[in-house]
Amino acid sequence: MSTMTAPRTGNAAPNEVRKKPFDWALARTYISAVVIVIWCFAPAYWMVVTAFRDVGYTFDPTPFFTHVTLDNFATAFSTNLGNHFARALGNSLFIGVCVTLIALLFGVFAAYALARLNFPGKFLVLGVILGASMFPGVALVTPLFQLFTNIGWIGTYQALIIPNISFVLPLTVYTLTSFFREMPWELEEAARIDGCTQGEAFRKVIMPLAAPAVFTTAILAFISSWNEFLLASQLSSDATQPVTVAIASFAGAQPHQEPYTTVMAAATIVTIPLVIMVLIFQRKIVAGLTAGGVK
Amino acid sequence: MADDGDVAGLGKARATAFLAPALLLISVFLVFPALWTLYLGVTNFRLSGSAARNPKFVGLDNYINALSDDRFLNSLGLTIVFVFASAVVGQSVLGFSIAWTMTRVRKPVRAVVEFFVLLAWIIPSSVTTFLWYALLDRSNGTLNAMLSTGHMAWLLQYPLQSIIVFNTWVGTAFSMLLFSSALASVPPSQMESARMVGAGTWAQLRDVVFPHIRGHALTNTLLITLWTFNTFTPYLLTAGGPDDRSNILPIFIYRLALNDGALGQGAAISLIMIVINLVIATVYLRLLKERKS
Repeated sequence: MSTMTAPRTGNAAPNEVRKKPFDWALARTYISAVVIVIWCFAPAYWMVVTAFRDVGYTFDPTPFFTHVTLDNFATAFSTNLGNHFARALGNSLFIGVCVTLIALLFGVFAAYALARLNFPGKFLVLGVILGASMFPGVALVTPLFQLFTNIGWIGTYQALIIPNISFVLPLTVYTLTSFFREMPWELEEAARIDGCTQGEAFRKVIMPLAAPAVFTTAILAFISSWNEFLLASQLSSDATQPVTVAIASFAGAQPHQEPYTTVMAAATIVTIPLVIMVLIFQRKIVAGLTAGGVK
Repeated sequence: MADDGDVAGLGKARATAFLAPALLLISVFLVFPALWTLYLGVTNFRLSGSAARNPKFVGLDNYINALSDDRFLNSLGLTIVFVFASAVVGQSVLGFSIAWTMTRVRKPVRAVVEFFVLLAWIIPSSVTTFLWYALLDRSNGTLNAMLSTGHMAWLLQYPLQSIIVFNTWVGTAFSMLLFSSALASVPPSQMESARMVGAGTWAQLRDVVFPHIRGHALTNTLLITLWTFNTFTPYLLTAGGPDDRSNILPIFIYRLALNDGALGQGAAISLIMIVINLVIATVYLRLLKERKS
């Protein structure tokens, strides 16, 4: 009985809750959140729905999963129609890993020098790096095409990897420099006073601290390389074609007819690694994207 | 030692060695091609034929041709509309609105919204263009099915509008993330006191928020203006057509140089683009500097 009459502790007394008016502003906010999610996600959602839909119902506008099948994925990987999707996936992965590792290696050294040293011409160097990142990609296609034709590199992996490294490098150096500026460099000096050599101080003290920044930059570099289309479409051969180019030129059973369901299945597969990366590293990606722009 | 700025005790030789590989790659594959464009632009170089083997020096002909070419002027006009509508207005305004809306929701909701926005940004362009193509397709497009608009050929009827909406969709995430972190830097106490004195949303934005985030807004506008100006992706959606109605500059150059084979002419217009890029960047940097001083 006493529990019925005893006044509740805590500040949310029942009668207060009842009196609180419906918060229209908050409701509007949440409705906008839903609209935003739909706006951003609708095309990708449609991609997945179509990818799992029987080819006979390709243009069925039902917005839910109907006529679910895995056939489209099998067709995407099949080489019967002259598509080499699996090979293209392998190429993208290989190119992406090479680009990321090399760009990171060079980028870390450059960013370290830029963040830690004042030397004459430093702003010129930063200016060149920033300026280079502004070049329209399309302006570079012709010169690179000519260059690689002359040295016989068209269709080779290095023709896809090396220019990509230099495309990724400005972003890498810039992001890493803005991260490195924020690092507690006193620790490095402290380690050296304690008898570490410079190399040891860098390896044992700075590297572990810098690892998250380096890792974040690596994610961004990999994504940028994985998504590159323009140069690859001109400089690759059938054998070295990355997946972005393969998707744009997917052949279907009938000529002149876009094999919708197959392309959607392939596109879903290409997107999966990126979705996983965003799921796991969302915070880091956001930090990396805003680091260069905000500071 | 402190005087020469070498706080890390790195020494000139090692500093140079640290910078050299990155700079070398950037020089060879970014700066050199840009300079090569300078050379190509004053020749009649073509992809094939006799002008491919023995390109002739043609002086400023390519530039004069370009500036008096209706197709180029049309392309330049389209590009200005495209950049203004999809980057300056579309991405900035939408990005800011989302960021502003998200300041009032709980953290987990915010993370979910952020995830989906980021997803739209991260999907490869050849995939997103295909998705939008499927959405806007004439005979079997999803949009027509949803709006019951029959066989409306969106990409043919409204090519420029289509790529503007598309580019807004692609780039909203970046603006939103940048504005989110900018809004986080606005002191909550100031927002609080603005609300206490009964300032409406507009007054809050004008008097409290904007003065704090002006620098971020400028940086953001600079970056997305340049990206949008240089983007080639809409090619995969409309290929510049129909009748050049979505023929923005990067697409114009691509078609001119690689489809028509007029490499010299394409290079000249590329250089005009690079110059416009530099002008845009300089103007923004000026504005930023003024703000700081």
